[in-house]
Amino acid sequence: MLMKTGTIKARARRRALAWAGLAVAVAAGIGAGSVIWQQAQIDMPVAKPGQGGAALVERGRAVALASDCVACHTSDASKPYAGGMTFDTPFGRLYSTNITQDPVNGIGTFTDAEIVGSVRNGISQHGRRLYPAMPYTSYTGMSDDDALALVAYLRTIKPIDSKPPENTMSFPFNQRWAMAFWNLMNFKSGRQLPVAGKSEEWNRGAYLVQSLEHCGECHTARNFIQGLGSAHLAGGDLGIWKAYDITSGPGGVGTWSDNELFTYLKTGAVHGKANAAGPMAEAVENSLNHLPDADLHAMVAYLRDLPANGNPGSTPARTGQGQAYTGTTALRASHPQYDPNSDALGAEVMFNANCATCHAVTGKGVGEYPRLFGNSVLGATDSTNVVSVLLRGVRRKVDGQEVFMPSFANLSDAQVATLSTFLFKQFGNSKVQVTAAEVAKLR
Amino acid sequence: MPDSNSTPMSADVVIIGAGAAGGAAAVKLLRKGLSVLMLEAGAPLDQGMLVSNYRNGAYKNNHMAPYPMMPWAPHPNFVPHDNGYLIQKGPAPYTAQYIRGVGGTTWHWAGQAWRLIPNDFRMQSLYGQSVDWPISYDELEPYYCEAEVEMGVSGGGALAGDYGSPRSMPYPMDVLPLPYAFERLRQRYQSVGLELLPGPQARNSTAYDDRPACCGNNNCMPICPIGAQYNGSMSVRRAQGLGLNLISNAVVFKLETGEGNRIVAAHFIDQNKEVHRVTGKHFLLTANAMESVKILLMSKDERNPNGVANATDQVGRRLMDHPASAVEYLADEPLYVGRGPMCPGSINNTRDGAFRSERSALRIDVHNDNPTRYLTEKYVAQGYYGNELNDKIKRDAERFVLLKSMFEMLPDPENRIVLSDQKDAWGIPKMEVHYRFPEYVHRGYDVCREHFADCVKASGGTEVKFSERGQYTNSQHITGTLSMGSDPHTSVCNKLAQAHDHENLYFGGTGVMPTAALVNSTLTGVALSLLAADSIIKASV
Amino acid sequence: MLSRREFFVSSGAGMMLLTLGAPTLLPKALAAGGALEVPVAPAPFIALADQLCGQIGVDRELINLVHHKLQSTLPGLDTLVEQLLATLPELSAPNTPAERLQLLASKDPALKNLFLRMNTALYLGTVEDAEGARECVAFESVAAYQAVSDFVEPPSYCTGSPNFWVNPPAYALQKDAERHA
Repeated sequence: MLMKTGTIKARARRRALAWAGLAVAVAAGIGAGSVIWQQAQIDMPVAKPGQGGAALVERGRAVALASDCVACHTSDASKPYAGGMTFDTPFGRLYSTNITQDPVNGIGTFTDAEIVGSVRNGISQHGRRLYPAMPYTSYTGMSDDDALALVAYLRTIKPIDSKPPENTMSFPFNQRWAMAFWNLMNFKSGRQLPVAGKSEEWNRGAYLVQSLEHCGECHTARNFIQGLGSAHLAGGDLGIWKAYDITSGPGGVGTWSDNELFTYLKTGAVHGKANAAGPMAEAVENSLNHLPDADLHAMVAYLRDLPANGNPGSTPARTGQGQAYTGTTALRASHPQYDPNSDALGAEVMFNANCATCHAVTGKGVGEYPRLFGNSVLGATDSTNVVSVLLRGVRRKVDGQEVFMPSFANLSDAQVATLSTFLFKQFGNSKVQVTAAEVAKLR
Repeated sequence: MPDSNSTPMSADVVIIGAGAAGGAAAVKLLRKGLSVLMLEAGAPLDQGMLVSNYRNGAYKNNHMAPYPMMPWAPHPNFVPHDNGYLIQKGPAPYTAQYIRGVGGTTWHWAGQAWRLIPNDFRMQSLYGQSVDWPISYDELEPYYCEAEVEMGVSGGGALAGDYGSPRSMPYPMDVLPLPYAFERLRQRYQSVGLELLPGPQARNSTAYDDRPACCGNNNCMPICPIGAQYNGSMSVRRAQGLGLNLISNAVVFKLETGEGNRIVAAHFIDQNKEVHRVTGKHFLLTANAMESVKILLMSKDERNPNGVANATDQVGRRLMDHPASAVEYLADEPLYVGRGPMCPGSINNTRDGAFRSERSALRIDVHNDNPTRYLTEKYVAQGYYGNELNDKIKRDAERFVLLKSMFEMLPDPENRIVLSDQKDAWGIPKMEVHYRFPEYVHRGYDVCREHFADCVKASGGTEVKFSERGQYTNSQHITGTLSMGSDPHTSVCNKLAQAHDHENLYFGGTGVMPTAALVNSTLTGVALSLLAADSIIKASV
Repeated sequence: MLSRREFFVSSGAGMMLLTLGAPTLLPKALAAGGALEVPVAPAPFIALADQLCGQIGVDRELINLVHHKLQSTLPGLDTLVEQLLATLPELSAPNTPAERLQLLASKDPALKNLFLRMNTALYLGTVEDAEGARECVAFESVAAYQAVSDFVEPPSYCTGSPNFWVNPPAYALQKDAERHA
């Protein structure tokens, strides 16, 4: 802070301000410290008489399903919950932990309080702070009964003696105690309470969306230090995937019916509109598909009630854009050459040779192979997910039925860019354009 | 474009031919830590390009049409005319089709992935015909398992079981279900004692190897548009991920021998007519059963005046294929062939028995090719038009049935490939093919004709057309030319798939098969290539 | 192949994806307004094509394309077309298609030639030039595949989800249901 020096009054004023500043700093420090102290208090719930046994474990299994623990805590499908999943961050690489009951590499030696503390406070055994890759920022809302149940269920998980690799976080991000300061700014510890005046169904939905299913961890934008921002469920950026706005405006899910939303959560697919891919495909496959229908309806009821993000009038609907492609006859008559090595390879040739087989020459789809026009990913203003789907494909297994789209990573950056731009122009939001450089970043 | 300054021109193993056999062997060798250099005469091929070429093609009945032919690596082509690359010396035609390019001929096959049965290995001992293999079914069985995993084979199930080929491991994927047409025919053919089963196919019934499940595009030949059907480029790509050094547009014209008659180098000419030389400790020749022969015969030197591996003049002899006869007819009920994979089922309870001492056994493929174009060409040429044409196309396509049998050729040393005096555009000799059918096959045709007639009768067939006795088409199962055997006077390699004359030269692919048996040869060719790779691995310790 | 939930991602990524690209980003074909510009065929040709294809309702664009391609390989096409159109009513008289061809040839071999070549082009999508070199001018939209479109797609295109082939086509099931009703 610049000040004129020199006058006695100025110096006195400066001294006063300095003392004031110090006082504020100390107060802030004490305030911060108290928040840090408070956040570190594990509220270990106490079991009520009769609360226990098989019923509690069963409830815990349902809580674990809804919280989708297995998705992040498994890297080898034959070793569930044994950890080892990689999370690449700008600050280094994290691996999920082994949460089986193994006493050496898992959580076999954890007390109940240490388990609850990990889940709801982000504080593990021996006060070790967890990175918010573990979404304790959402799980903190978990009710006491659910927390007790989850502990009971975790205690039944077969011990697997598997040690995940060590994290490779760069300094100073490998200093876990520093997470306390991150938590100061980005974490509000505490149980999620029902909102008065809302129905039981709404509250159940709110609890599932905000706490257990932790939808906001993907669907809410983050601030500059990766804490969750305030535009709740208005869309989040996962780098190679974009989690869309799921509030009620046209840019969100305003143009979907309740039944479509329910169907999407339950199966990952809504005919003509949407097909879950990437992380959402996993969420459906591992978690949402297994929830009772009543829970899914509750989540829909809650999502429906979210005010539309931004200015709904100016945001185009993600669905219902684009039209059928009618250029195949003309294309065939010109029998264009397909040179796989050329970055100038035409979009329509590529579309016909690579996409039309399953998606039909017009893009209307066949059987389970989706229709392209009207699709909510092609209708978005952001091209990330279309490009990611082309580069990575789609894989989902729900109710024994497998859905699979191969990857087209064999196409060059320029080819993917040309094809994507065409797909948007023809079948979706015609303003979206994709460059080769953007594709390269998404590989 | 090879550049000897920047590309390594040497490896532990040099593989010639980037098809299914070479690709699968490369994967195996690389996983064992050996370095591999692969030379492919043709160019890299791209699925999107091939699909586009097919759809743009003017001769859709020619499965070779989508495959570009490089001037330095020509392949035989017979539609619309014979391009004269494979010179037919007769008396019977041998109109082989194969692809010279990265991935090889499995880019356009029907994906049938059969094992031989144990008796197929003992034709001479059991039936006094043909020859015995120097190995048993049991010795090849582990390599069949490996080949099935590498390629992704679906098969078995309640109806088919193990098809008479005992298994030590389950199929990698469950069998693909029969199309409606085949279920109906299965029921009707049962009444005449013919058992139609869903076949084992190198075709995904679920997503496998990051490739989708078959969705019935009915275009297996000439190109599966989604990669649900295996082709050799998938193994080659996997090998590249493991460190394979692949040089395409590299036409090998000579194997150079050195001390002890070991192979010391392979010489190739590239698309700019520049000549290069690569060296290796071991050489594996998987350039299909015809082009491999050509390379060996061209490699004449002082030690080997008849060509490499040819001291006893056996290379290129015993050329076999599966002569095929056919019947087409219209069934008395709509069946709707054309839905699903092209060759999902066949009649197999005719492939073995005591009769093999007298006449060829047979197997009958029920075809599921969409008959629309074939029928329309016929009816348009006949003068149909308008609604009459539309109704006829629809009605006949719904009821169309095509059965194709295969017979077992015998390994006749006089059926052979030799070098021609004629040369291709790069100065490399073309090949002449001498081929004739034995009575053994004609007698098989006679029995087959009865089976065909039974099938027609059992399904109320009309407008029946049989192919003629002695007029057989080629099935593209080129076998026998590099025969495996214990006697160097009647074979080219031993039970390790090692050349009799050259300690470090091995062969893979269908040419190694000393008998043709009754099933499509590809799986056996790949298994033999894996056996050869195993021999190399053991010799490298 | 599948990504996992990723956190701590660089927040700038999203901003880059909405660049306003130069017009050159648009695929050339679209920018030019279509892969092939072909004039509309004369009315008699269209009428003839419709008669030759019956009630199948063949693609208008295909008819224009076939006219365009045939013009360069058949001199006097438009005159021949009018003649053939005038002759068509006589063709329903003979009983067999062979007799039909004979009748055409006897009037003028060029009429028979046109008849066959138009049907080949409309039903099979191929056109031959004077030297016999064959060109594919259509595939997906040809009349042959339209005739069977309710039970199968042209080869290399998907007719349904995996294992769809286990059942007969929908209209067959419906016929079955009607039979058993």
